[in-house]
Amino acid sequence: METTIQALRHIPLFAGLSGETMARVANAAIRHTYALGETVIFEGDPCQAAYFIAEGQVRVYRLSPEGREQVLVRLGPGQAFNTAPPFQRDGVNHATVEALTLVTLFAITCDEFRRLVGECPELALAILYDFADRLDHLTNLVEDLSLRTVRGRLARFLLENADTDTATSRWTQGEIAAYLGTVRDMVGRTLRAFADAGLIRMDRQRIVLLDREGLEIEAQR
Amino acid sequence: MSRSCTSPTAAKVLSAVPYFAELDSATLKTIAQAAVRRDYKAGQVVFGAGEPCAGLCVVQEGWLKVIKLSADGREQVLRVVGAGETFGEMSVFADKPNPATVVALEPATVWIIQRDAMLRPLDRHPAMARVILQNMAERVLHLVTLVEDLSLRTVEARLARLLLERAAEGTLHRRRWATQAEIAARLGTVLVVLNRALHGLAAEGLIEVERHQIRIVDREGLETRAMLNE
Repeated sequence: METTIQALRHIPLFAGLSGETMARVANAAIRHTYALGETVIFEGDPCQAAYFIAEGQVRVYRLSPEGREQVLVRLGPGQAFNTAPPFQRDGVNHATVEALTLVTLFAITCDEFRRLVGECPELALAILYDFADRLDHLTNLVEDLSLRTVRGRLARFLLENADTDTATSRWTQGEIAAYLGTVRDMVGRTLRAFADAGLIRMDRQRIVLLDREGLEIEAQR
Repeated sequence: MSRSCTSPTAAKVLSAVPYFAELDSATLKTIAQAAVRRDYKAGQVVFGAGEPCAGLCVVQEGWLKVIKLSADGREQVLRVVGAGETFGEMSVFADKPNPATVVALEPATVWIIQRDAMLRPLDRHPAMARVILQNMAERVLHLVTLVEDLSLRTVEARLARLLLERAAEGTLHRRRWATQAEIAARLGTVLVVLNRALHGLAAEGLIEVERHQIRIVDREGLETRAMLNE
């Protein structure tokens, strides 16, 4: 089995750390494993730790009072979540995080995390970069929800999530809806409209992008 | 760069910003020397989305809005910044173009600190890094909440929440630039829908809308409205 340090080296936030800092991070990190469908943290609970994914995928979402979901992001190996609340007074978890696969992650308690960041400027800077990325992503999500049609959002989603020319099949239509802030029917209808227009082809398990340029025009709407 | 003896110096303005509160005066002075003063008129664009920005911007006075624009010119306000607050962190800490457009809502004075001058002291002043991280963490939470609002709450619930958050002692005093169109852009909606929501809350006796202020009449009722999604 990989040592903690070896596993942590794969996490970009820690990749540039000096050996000494790395040893301290490894000392503070506790390895956890979650089964598919298991919830790692709940929105609104007091923040206990910051988390760094070694293996697997999670989804991060908020829930409305009546149970509708808005997915904020999907994260995979090397990515982190719950790194912002430790810096807030009486920080609570911003969102609920659920394992989409078997997930291995490292947890660093809030106190430890704050202490490490306070004492290692290189780590502080890496976390700042990460926050900036997060702000960038959330700003785009706000723009999507507020200013784009579902058609535009879906086109952009397909362009951003396609590996080469095939959109990842791991997203169900219901999950795409929860990310785009709409309902499943609407996603299904729009996908069919894109297919009719020759922009995509829907196979059983995947969506193939046929006309990237056409989708880019749609994404502006 | 214009400096008259009546206007505060960069060091004076910066010392009031939480980012720099923990710095010794020598370090603060070095940063202040790298700051350039800019004045903007109401409605003037400070920088556009996707454009790089010259550095960290510290507001000395005036209000500015950070917005996203749709292809057809509709706008979503991400936040409003005033004296002592900062913007432009994205280009400083991530070396990326700013994701949003910044526009002055009224005559505004802003000090711009070059990127290098901001980054250099971080190594030796972890306290500064911590304050910046705190600020960025708040910003992340604010956007997460905005996403939830836009996606999962009605305009009426968003309005109720804005009123509860912003009202001092039960009354929201509207600044000159806080027109209904600006409030609509903040809530991610259009004027007609905002008006309907304001009338709705007023008709139920939860608020009173006057020309320059909105008064909360029934705080509990408004809180219920802010939580519920119909």
